[in-house]
Amino acid sequence: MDATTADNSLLGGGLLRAQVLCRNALAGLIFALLAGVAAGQNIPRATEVPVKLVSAEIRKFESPVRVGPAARAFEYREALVLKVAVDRAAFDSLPPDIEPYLYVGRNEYRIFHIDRTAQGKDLVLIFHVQKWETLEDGAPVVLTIDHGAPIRDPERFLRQQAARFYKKLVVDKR
Amino acid sequence: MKTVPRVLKVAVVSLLCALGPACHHIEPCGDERLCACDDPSAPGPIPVGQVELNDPNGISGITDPAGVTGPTESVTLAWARIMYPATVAGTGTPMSGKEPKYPVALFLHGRHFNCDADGSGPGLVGFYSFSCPPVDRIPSHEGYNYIMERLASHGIFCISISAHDIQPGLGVWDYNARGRLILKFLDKLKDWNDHGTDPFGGIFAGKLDMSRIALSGHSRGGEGVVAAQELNLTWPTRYSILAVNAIAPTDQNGVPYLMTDASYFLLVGARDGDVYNMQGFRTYDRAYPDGAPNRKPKTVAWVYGANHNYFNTIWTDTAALGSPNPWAGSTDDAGWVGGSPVLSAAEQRQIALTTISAFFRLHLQHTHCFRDILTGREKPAATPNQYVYWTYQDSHRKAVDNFERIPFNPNVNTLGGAVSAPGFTTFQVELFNHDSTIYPGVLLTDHQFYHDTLGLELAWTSAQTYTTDIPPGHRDFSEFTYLTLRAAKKVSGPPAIGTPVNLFVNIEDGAGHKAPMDLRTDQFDPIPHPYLRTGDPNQALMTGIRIPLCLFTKHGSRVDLKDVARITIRTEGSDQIGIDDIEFGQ
Repeated sequence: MDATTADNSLLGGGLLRAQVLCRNALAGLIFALLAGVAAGQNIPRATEVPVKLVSAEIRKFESPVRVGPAARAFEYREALVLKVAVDRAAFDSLPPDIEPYLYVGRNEYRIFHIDRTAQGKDLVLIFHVQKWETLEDGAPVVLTIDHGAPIRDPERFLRQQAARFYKKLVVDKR
Repeated sequence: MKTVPRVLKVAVVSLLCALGPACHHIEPCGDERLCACDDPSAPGPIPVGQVELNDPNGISGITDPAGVTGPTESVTLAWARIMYPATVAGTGTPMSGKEPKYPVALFLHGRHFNCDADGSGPGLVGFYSFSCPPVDRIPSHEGYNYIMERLASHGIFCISISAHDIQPGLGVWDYNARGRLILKFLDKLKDWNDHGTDPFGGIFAGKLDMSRIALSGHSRGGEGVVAAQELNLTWPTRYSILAVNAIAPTDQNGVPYLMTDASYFLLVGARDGDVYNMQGFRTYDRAYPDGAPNRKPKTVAWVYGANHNYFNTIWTDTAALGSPNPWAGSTDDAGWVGGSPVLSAAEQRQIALTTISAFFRLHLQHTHCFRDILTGREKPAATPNQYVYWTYQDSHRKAVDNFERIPFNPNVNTLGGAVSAPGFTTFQVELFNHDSTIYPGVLLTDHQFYHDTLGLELAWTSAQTYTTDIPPGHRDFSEFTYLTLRAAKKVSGPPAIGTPVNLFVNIEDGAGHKAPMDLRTDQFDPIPHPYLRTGDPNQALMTGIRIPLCLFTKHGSRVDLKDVARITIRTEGSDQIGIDDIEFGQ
């Protein structure tokens, strides 16, 4: 079982039913969390959301992950599974359609999975890194909708207070 | 063959055009034709019926608990608005019997809050949820009713489907799921048609022409329709998808989806504050390149002043909509863009209504005169045409230079002819790309062009001439009617108002004949100054220029279109442009 599948076991019906039943009780909290979301949809907004590295595990998957339409699909059986935590309100206040990408140094990654099962301030985002050996120690980890910016202007991200990737964080779970 | 004196024809056309405000069409070479098409945005003659589908378990086969072939989240909700040609207007009324079958248009919205904290109440707080109570679900799919109602009145069955279960974000499966959702709905329509299984009393049995299908998608839904069109190639019940329209689409799948099997119409607003990096242009650039089998026409309407949200009424705030809209997330997404000019929501919708109607009716009903709306030549009176910049590339076209050669060599064109540009301060081929490309390797790239194509960058500080030669064996262009190219003005520095670029174009045949005067591009299509926006300014996006070949051969020029030896592009003043796809086409 891969990391994503494990996370999704939390999607059991019991928890979902509880979410519905507790809707009224959570309404105040949701309102408070999302007040900024509503406001954030029509004013100049941040393009980045700070991330916290939760884990970095090399995983082997029972079945290959296959991405893309049939004629041009690629697949892989193992990857570095990066989990990062982001502030839920900040993440959901990004423009809805442009997708935030994760940059580790000059390497770009698309979101593999958004784990919305946890109730709380944070969301966990999961990324699959296939050529993890190429990641640079100390590289800034940036989640941004400004696609390509960390590649076009890496110096800007080296200077700023971004999370950093360190190889010592990687745990081989194969 | 002329059987009517030209003066009389002009008089008749002028009279008809005066009587019919929708018609502005005069052929450029004196061969005026009667105005055959009405404004496609005008209501049609057929009453419109409508129904709502809302089946919590109406979709299956997208979710994959193992996460190998699809998302792990539950995608099962079949929620849709349907508008159709009917016998009488109303809910659930029988389908019209005027035609035996009606073509199908399917709409898919983009990502937006899917849950409103207080349902359709006055609060505007929204969020994303996999477990939103039905009363709180935001009906983003109702936002295109203004287009569907008109199309239905002209005899097209329309369905706008909800992506509610996908909205919280499905990560790597997000775009695949949107594409498959469309195909699952087409499966459902096919079943309704073939077996009378629709939940409305079988009113659609035998009435849907599943051999004439068009798709329209907005934002992530725009990527979804492109995905559906490509996934359809291997779908068990492959459909005849004739036309695909993407409104401000994303292009974010890990492996980009490609247009491979349908005509494509890209509609994008220059004031977009959501998909502000204009990534949808990449889908156009990649569609139907030279050498691709089964090429189809492709079109862009690049709309100055249009934002992302106002194409959808559910995403339009009350003030801009002019009527109450209590659903969360309705807003001008471009508040931070600071653009000028700014279109009203009504103007923006009018452009969508006109252009999408023309595109769908052209391909679903073969109303050929609507093609000239998509080339930019026909300008319906109800539409604010001055804000719309068109690009049209026909399926039948031949490139003189598409610059698609690695390693780069600006001195030789696609046909192997010599290219010269003495005196230009910049004359080089580059990758035009802002942030994401399918081109391999590290290429010289200009990030100010929000495309994914190889093109030529030219800069000049005084009058210069660019010449591209056509070698013998390639010189017969007599089957074509237009010389076309794509170009964008490039500017740097703080955003400022500026003037369009003018190019002066001529062709010369092997005997040295050419038109007596170079033709100014702004007589046909402008190359505008970049849209004035303070957020992410100076975006260089190419628009199309179409010059009728007959203008090179008239006035006794004796230019032989069977022996075109070179094309010249003369510049004046001082400017900088990107240029691509110098072609002969229809």
